[in-house]
Amino acid sequence: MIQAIEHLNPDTLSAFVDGELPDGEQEAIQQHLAGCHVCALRVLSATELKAATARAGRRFALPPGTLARLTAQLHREPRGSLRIHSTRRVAWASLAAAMLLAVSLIGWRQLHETNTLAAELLDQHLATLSSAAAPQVISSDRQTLVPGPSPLQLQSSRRPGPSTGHDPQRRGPCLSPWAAGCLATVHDSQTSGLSLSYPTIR
Amino acid sequence: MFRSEALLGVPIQFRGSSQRQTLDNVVSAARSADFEQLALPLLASLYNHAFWLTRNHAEAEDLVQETFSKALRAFDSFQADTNFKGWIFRILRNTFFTSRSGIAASRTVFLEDHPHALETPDTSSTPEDNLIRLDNQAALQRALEQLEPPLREALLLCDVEEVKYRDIALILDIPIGTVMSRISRARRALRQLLQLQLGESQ
Repeated sequence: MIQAIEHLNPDTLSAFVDGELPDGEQEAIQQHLAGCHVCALRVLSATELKAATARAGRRFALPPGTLARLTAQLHREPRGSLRIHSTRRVAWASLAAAMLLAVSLIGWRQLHETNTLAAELLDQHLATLSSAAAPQVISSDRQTLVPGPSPLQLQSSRRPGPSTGHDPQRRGPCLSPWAAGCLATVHDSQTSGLSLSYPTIR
Repeated sequence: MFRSEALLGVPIQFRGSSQRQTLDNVVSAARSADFEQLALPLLASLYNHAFWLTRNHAEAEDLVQETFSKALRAFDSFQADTNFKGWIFRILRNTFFTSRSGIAASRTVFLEDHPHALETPDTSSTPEDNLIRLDNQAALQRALEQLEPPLREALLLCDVEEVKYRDIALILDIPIGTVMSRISRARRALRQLLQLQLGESQ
């Protein structure tokens, strides 16, 4: 007679292997296993897997040094006052404290240097502005205010020739206006003998 | 208050005994000796489990140290004739989840315990393949490493530490039905991983 057999579901099978089912259920399953080859094989396989997992999971042995340290601390420390601070944590805490101190010191110093730094920056900025603006002011001022050589004449007198290509204003983006201004001053005084002050040009 | 109780496992009664001794200072020393007697034999197990949680020697050692420290301080709340192993493993686990790597690990979303969760197919219908592979310790260890941590944790407590479902439920703070399904699911996942390895090696 062919009997329709309902096989064990995975959760029940797993709990059966662990001996976690109530007594009645455990017996019922044993009866089922006696007549069901498929489930008997699954139970055998699950038992094997459980044993193999137990072996594979017991993997990380306590290093001898650790065992000694932990045992010694258990013996040494009086109960209730046991405070175990690992050296690693103390080291990290010290490092954190040192960094905090360093950051605060730097912050404090920077706070006090801000005013002088700002003043220096402002001075530099003003100097840059004035020196960079110098050549431009001369040419435009002369056009509008100063009678004398025309801008075209001035330009030709200041430039020895197109082949030299020494125009400091065209030296590329790597020059700051301030540096370009300095170069313009040097260039003008060397090539044309003109200084950049108004009276000489006039 | 609630946090520290939960951390130390104070309100949890393992295999609850209703009798509770009132301790004075004289008895305290004896209790301390009791603690050592109970805790020292579990050192290797605690370390092994701590390593599976942290995957790092230094962190595992720190974790066991801190567990001992907390357990000793809370030992008054532990009741004789209850499951010390379950009690201290719970402290170990709670300590881990307050550590840096534990907090990081707890952020990982674990899909399970819900009817909607992806169901691992039952592959135990071909147990012969697995019986061959179970001799291979390295293969099983690789498969264990690839298991999702919540599944692995439950399986290791069951198979390696031989803790009963009821106590695993208290350690992991989950219902006993969830323990049962996690262990079953872990075994199916293990089989699947072993079969994958078998497929790769052929």
